[in-house]
Amino acid sequence: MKEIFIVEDDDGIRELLEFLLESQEYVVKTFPTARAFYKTVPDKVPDLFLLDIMLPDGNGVDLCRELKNGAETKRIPVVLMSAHADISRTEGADDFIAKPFDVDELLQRIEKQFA
Amino acid sequence: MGVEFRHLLDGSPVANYICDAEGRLTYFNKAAIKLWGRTPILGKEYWCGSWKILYEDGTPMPLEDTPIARVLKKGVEEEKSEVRIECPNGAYKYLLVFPKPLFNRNGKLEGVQCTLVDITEQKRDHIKKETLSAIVQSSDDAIISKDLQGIIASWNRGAQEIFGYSEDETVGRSITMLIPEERLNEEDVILDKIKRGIKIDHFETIRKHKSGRDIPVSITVSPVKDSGGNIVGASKVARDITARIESQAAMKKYIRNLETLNTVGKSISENLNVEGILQRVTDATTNLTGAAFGAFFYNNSDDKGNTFQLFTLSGAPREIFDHMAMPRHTDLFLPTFRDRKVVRIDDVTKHGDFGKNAPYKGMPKGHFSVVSYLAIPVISKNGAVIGGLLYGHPEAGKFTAEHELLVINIAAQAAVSLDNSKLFEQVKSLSEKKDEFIALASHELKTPLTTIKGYLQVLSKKKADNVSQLFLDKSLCQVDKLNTLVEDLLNMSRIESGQLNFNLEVFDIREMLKEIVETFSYASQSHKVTGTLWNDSVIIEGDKQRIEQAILNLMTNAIKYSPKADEIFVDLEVIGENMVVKVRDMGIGLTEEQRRQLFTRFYRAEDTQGISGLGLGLYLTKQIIDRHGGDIVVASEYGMGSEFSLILPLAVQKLKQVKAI
Repeated sequence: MKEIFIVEDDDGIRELLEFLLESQEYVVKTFPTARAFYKTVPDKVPDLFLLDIMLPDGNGVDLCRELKNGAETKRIPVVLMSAHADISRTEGADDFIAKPFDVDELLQRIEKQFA
Repeated sequence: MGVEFRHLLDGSPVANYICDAEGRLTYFNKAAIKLWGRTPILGKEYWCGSWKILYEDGTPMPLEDTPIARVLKKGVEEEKSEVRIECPNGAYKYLLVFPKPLFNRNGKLEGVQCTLVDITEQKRDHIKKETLSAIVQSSDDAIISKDLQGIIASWNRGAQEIFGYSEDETVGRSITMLIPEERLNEEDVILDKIKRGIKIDHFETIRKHKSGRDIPVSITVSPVKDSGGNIVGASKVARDITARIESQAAMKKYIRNLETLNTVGKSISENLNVEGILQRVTDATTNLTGAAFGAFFYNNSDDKGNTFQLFTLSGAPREIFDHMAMPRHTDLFLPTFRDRKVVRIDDVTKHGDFGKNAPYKGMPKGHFSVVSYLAIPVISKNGAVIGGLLYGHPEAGKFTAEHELLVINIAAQAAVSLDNSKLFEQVKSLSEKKDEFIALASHELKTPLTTIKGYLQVLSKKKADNVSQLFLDKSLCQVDKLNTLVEDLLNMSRIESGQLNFNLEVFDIREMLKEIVETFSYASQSHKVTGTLWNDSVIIEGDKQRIEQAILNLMTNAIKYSPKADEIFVDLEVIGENMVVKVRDMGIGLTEEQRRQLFTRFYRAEDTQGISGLGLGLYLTKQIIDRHGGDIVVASEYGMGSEFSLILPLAVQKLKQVKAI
């Protein structure tokens, strides 16, 4: 079973993602802030990171860069999400999903990362 | 009279005639005829053979007063006398008359013999000389004659006026006494030309007044020839051109000032940056007034008498102010900054208010010397003093009323520009705040939308009854609409702030249109979408997502504004180097006025109540297409429908490359 770490500050979206992914049999762990995320990572690493860009204490793009530079995390796929649909800011990530997303499309894209 | 004597007179070149005791003309010779210009009748005319006889001054002379009449009357010989005669052809002649009484052997007066000498030539020469002399004397120009060694021979009144020397002081001395030392070689050049017979015309130079002062003059020097045609000297006419030079200089200055005013005015009105405006104004006015330094101080001090803030400086390095006290609320500065007064002082150290203010009592130590002082307030439209332009010079009396006026003019222009600049800054900052707000708001609006859309989609996958399914679909559709509105707002703000970025790629727009038409046909229940697409691929370069958005906008509008129709049409054609997408409806159409305002932001036609929208769609569509180097053309008839043609250039080069790959 693949494990996914989600960083998302909005409670509603975080719960939605957790519900959607768990219903697809993924193991999901969620973090509301970058700080909470770093308490776990890189001691524990998942099979995929799903990161929101605008965080109260940081930025998903920076988080992604650090993950891609970290020895333990650099091979793990990173998917960014944002309500700012500026795809140009996502260099380094494996995929980008604009909010509001289509549920089926989101699941397809995540699945694609494991193909 | 003896025959021999008469013979003698006949052949004489001197005019002679004789009258008898009654004054009748009894003889005249040929020379007399020539002189008179007529032949009088012997024995019939009296005393005189001329046509008219006049006194020297031109008044007619009665015949009984003619010299001959007088001699006959008195019987004694007279001294020669001068008369003027007029010939029948109108010519005047001047004559010397020598009348001699003739006596017979008994001593009785028998007549008069008169000799006439024509002195017209000499007389005219004399008159000419006198006139010339009078002209020379009365001339305001200096008229001087000199010999070939440059020794002054004559000197008129004008010369005396211009150079200050009297005739006695100059005649016989060298002309070089008038020439400044550094110009002495000019005289050699002038004399050399004169010797070669060359005239010097209107040569502008400097000559010296008796007092040593320089006089700008224009001189004309001509060679003077003797009767044999040899050059013996020169006449020189010199005109004092001080007034002309001064007025030329004044004119030049005036023109320069105007030009500066013009350039400064233009450059400050084009400038919206405060520091740029003030530096330009300070530099230009310091230059114009000839000040040693000029500065602009902001009027931002408090009432406790603290300093005014130095903003721009010209003519002195800024460091000079670093360890120096700034102008404060003293009697010298306050009138300008508080009372909007222009202050111009020739010597500030003698000014009543100078030196009374503690702690410095005058200029602080180390202050560069200011004697001439000029201060002009820069006043805002609302009457507030924005600041003051201050000028200084270490010498006294440097600033004139003219300088004052010039700076006041520039200060007025600067005030307007500063007001504009302030407004501009305010608007800019407001607009930036608005963009920030829209970016933030759209992000915040999309966050709950994401959750709503997600759960609705999850629900619509579950097995539900038909009604629930219908409601879920309707809700999802509205969520998408809401999202589009938010997206439009965000895009508008990005366009406004120039932050709308494009991801350019080369793609086949025919493929895109096929998909769009299919999706639309499927989604739209009210209208049928009829697509007539080009029979080959149509390759363009652009932001796929945004171009799709533009076409969708046009199609959504076509449906929205043709509520009573049931069909819209989408065509794709290639015309020349462009592709054209035509979206046509049979809707309400557009009036001329509506067509003109169509692409304006937030514009919505007046009769569209009941049709929702923010009025951003066409504005965004037009912006997107414009930024791709394309255009949108509208054809419409009110009540009959509209046709929007979206034109984009083909990626001809790119197409070839794609095919080659």
